[in-house]
Amino acid sequence: MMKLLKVFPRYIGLKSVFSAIIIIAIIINAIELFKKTPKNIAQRNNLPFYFLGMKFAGLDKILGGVTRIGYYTDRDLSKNSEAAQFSQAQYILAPAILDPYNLNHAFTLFDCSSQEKCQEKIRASNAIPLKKNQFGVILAGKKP
Amino acid sequence: MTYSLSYIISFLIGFFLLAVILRRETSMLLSTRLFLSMGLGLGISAYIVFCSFLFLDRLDNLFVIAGHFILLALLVFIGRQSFRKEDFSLMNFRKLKSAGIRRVIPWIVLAASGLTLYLHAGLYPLGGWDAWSCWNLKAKFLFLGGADWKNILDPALWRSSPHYPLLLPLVNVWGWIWAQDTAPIIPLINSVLFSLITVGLLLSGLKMVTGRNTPGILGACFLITLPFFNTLATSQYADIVVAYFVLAALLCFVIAWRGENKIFLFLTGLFLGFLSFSKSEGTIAALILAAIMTVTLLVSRKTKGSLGLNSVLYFLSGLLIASLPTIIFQLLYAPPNQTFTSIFSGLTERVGLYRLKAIALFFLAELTSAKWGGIWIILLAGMILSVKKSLRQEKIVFPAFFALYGLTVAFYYWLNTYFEILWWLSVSLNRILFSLLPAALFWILYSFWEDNNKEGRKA
Repeated sequence: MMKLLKVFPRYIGLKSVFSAIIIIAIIINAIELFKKTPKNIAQRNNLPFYFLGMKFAGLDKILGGVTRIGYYTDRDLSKNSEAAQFSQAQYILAPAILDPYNLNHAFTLFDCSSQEKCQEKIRASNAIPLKKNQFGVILAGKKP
Repeated sequence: MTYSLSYIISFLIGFFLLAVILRRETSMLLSTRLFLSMGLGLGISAYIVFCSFLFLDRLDNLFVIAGHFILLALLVFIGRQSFRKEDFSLMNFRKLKSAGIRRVIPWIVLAASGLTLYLHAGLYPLGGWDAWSCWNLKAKFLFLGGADWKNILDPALWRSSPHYPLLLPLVNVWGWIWAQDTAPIIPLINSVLFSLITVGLLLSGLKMVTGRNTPGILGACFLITLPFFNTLATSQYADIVVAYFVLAALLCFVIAWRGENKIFLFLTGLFLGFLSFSKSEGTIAALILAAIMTVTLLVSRKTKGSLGLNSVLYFLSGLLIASLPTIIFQLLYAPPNQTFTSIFSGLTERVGLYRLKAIALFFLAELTSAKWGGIWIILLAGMILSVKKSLRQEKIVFPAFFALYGLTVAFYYWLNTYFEILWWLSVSLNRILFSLLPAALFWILYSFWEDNNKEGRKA
């Protein structure tokens, strides 16, 4: 093998061979890129970017300077899509910290699969609904 | 558009600082100077913002802006005599005309790279998962948190890795100060900018050390035509920041070695310091690189001869200065890593062996995965074909770093049983490889195109 490597450059420069391999790879990758990119852009134009966390937009204004709020959901946060929604909610509501399943804070966000489940949990946790947004997310405050 | 001022100010600080460090007697390609200046400037901006939290315990816009202007004025004053006419040969249009199209090709490649990156960034304007669950979230806490900014370290935010260093969030905050709100455009621009200066540094760095445009153009085209590179580079993650600083540090080390110019070792140290503040993986990479470079310098005959023994001091002083925020962050702020459970707490031979096998197989599967467009296989072939050159002298730093870093990462995957191993590997290993890719490309292309006659050429 080493002997072959020593003899090889005499006939064809190693640099040329290596360049040719890279150029072929670049061409193949470029074709893929040129195929994919316009398709992705067209797809994005047809289906605008949707951020799950937008469900929680606007609630931060009511919270004012509160630094920590409870967060309740009956969904399974270990699932990817639910975890993504929770993380995006945290991003939208920062700098307040969302404390999942902790209902002892002055404010708690209830984000349930149905309104009934939300209402039931709010009653059980001795809280009062303060605001419900268009996506069904309820901000509740602890009863004094 | 006032936020563009943040980039102009950072660039000017980097540009004049580079002039002050390199002084008149050190020549450098203008393009390399530009790409190093931008990264250096953004790093310094992050450090000035960090000073606001350190000294005032909150973000003070006036402190940050004044800090930038005072530093810039100081650097302009000290550095005004530090430029050489020949460093600005790009401005020499007569030369440009005579060189013809060859001189313009790298800039066309760079412009095309910018366009590709911008198009990809626009697909996910709020970035990927870790952008909103970690990096941009930290930036929001820093920007809006006031005196409660330390809430980013709260254990309740374990999903955002509170122990991670803060360079990228601080760079985002610097842009937001000028935008006056948490505009999503700032992290998006930062990801495109870091990607672009990484590609640019690869292009110009290879031109600087080989004297030719070909290797740089090949490397840049290889990177930028990879759809996966574009996606990850514009995801607004810190991995592109790690990739940039690894490349910048290694490039400066190579320039220092070839040109026997120890001032570049000071720059190498600075870039390693910034690297250490970019991400936990960056801290590990900086430590490994620092150790390898120190040993290389100490045992080399060059250090005893032309570079001089004090070259190690140049390197270590740059490293210490730029590592201060990392040291302070680790000592004063960083909470323990909550996503860590040692394998030794419940070790069974079966678990240990299973994880070891999974890691080894996953490394292999990842390196040969179609999403990399064959780049790792080609680089491996390149290393074998240029084995004598690629392991020679200062280039030994590259394989030593890749091997040690790879082993450290593999050991950590094995040691930490907090996450299910296959899931963890599938979401993180590609990013580790991504952050090493520009430096790996630089190493192999440099080895192939190195002109031995020019080895002694002064940088």
